[in-house]
Amino acid sequence: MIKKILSFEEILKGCVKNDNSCKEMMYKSFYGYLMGIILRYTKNTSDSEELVNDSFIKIFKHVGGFKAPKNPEELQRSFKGWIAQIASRTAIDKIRSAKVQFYVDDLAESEHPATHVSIASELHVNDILNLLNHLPDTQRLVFNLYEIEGFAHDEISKMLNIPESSSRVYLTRSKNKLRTLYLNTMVNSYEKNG
Amino acid sequence: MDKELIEHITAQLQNHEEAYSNGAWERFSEKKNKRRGITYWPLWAAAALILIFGGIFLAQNNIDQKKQVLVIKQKAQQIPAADGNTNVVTETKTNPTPLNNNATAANNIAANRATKITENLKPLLSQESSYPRINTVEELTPVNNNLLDSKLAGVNLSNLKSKQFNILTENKKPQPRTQTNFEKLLAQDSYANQQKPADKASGNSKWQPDVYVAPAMGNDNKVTMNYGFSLSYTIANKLSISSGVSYASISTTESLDASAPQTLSGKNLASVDAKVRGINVPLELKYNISDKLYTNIGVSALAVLNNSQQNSYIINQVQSFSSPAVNGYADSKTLIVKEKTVEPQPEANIDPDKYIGFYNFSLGYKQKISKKNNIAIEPFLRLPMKTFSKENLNLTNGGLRLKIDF
Repeated sequence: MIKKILSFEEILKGCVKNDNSCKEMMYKSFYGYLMGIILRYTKNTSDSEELVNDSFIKIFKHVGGFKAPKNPEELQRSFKGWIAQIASRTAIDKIRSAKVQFYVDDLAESEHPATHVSIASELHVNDILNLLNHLPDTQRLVFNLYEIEGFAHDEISKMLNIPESSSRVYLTRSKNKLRTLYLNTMVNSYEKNG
Repeated sequence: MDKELIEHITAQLQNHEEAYSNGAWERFSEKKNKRRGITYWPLWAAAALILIFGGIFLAQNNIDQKKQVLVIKQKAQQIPAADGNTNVVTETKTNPTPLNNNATAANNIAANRATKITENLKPLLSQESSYPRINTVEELTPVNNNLLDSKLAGVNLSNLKSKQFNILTENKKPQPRTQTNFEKLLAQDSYANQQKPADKASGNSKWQPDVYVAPAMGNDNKVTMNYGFSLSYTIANKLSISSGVSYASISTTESLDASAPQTLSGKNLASVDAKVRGINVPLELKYNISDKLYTNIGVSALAVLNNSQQNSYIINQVQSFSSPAVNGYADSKTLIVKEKTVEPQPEANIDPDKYIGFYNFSLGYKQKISKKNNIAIEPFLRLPMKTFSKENLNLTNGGLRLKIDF
C-alpha cells in the first residue's frame, strides 16, 4: 500500500508513464507553487484553482516533452521553471479570453515621476497580493511579466500584442500605483492604530 | 532596512508558494475522470420535468379546445332551437285550417314539457344530431311570431274543433324534437348556473394564503424539514403568482472517490457533508391544469443563516501491537492502518455566499376538505443555480409539500 518515498526523478518518470500515484504526488507537491503563480494574475480566487487544474492538465499531457537538463541537480529547478511558464501562459490566456476590450487604458495621461519608496517593515505576501488586486488588469499583467517572470519589453509586446512603448508605460504606471497604494495603506494603518 | 518597495515585492512574489489545499487532488482527478458524466443530471432532470409539464399542458389544452368546440356548437344551435319551437308550430300554417289548432297544440306542448324535463338527463351529445334538421325547418319557414298572433286573434275557434285531432297527430312528430330543444335549453341554463358560482368564488378571493410543511431530501438521503407560508394572487383564470417566506434546510454530500494517501503523513479528502439553513423567499408562477391539479414554476433566493460543513478524510496511521509470547519473547508488529476521520470545515473555508438561488418546479394535487379549506400535496424539485462552495456541492433537493389553504 505505502510505497517507498520516490525521488523527484522517479515521480517524473511515473508521470510520463501516466502512473496515477506519481501524478498525485506531483500534483500535491507543486499545487502550492502553481497556485502562488496563478494568484499573481487573478483577482478571483474561485477561478484560481480551476486555472491550476488547467495547468496540470497541460503539464500531464505534455510531460513527455519536457527535456531534462544535463545536470541532474538542476532537474527540479528547471522543471519548476517549465511548469511556471505553463501556468502563467494559462493564466494569460484566461485573462485574454475573459476580456475582449483589454487594452483600453488611456495612454495619454501624464506620467508621474518615479519616486523611490522604502519599506519600513516587512510586507507580507498577502498584503502584496492585495496591492496587486488594486491594479488595473493590464498594468498588473505587465508588472508580473516584467518584474517577476523576467520577460523583456519586446517579448511582452509580442505576447500581449501591444507596442513596446505601451508595455513600458504600463510598467511605470503599475510601479507608481503600487507605491502610492502602499503609502496610502501604510498611512491608513498608522491612523487606525493610533 | 532600506529596500526598494518594488524589489521587495518581486522577491516576495518569486519565492511565494501557497499551501496545499485539502481535497484539491481529489477534485482534480474527479474532474478528469468524470468530465461530462452524470454530474449534469440536474440539467437532465430539469429537461425531463419541463417535457412532462409541457406534455400535460398540451394534452390539457387539446381537451379544452375540444370542449370549447362543443359548447360553441350548442350555443349556435340553441338560439335557433329556441325560435324553432314557435317555428315548428307555425309550420302547420300551410294547413288550410286556421291557426287556433296550433294554439292548443302549443298548449299541449307546454304540458308535455313538464313531463319531459326529466329527459334532460339524456346525454347532450346524442341530441345534437337532431339540430341540423330543425335548422333547415327554420330556414324554410321564416315566420314572424307577431304575425302569427294577429292571425290567431281573428279566428273563430268553435268551427274547427273537428280537425284539431288530425293536426295534433301531425304535430306529434316534431314535438319530441322541440322538447329536446327545451331540455337542451334547460340543461344549458343549469350548466351555466353551475359555472357561475365557481367563477364568483374565485373572483371574490384573489388572494389565497396557505401554510405548508415540506420534508425534503438532498443527495445524501437525509430528510430535512422546511416550513413556510405563502400567498398567491390570481392574475388570470388559471394563472396565479405566488410568493412567501419559508424556513428551509438543505443537506448535501459529495463523495470524492479517494484512495489511501501515497505518503505516510498525507490525508485525502473522501467526502464532504454540508448543511445549509436559511430563509427561502420564492417567486412562483402557478398554473391550474384542472380543478385539482396545478403546477408551479419559479425561482427562489435562500438567505443563508447557518452553514456547516464536515469533511471526512482518509488518513494513514501507524499502529504497533505487541503480544508477549510464552517463551519470554515479545512479538511486536507495526501496521499502517487506513483510517477515516471526520473534521468540521474551518470557518475560513466555508462558502461565504450569503444568498443561493434556486429554480423550483412542482406539481400539486389539491383536495377540498371544507367549504373554504383545501389541502394539497405537492412534490417539488429545487435546483440550485450554481454549485455551492469550493467543493462544488450540489444542493439539488426534492420533497413533498403538504399544504393547507384558507
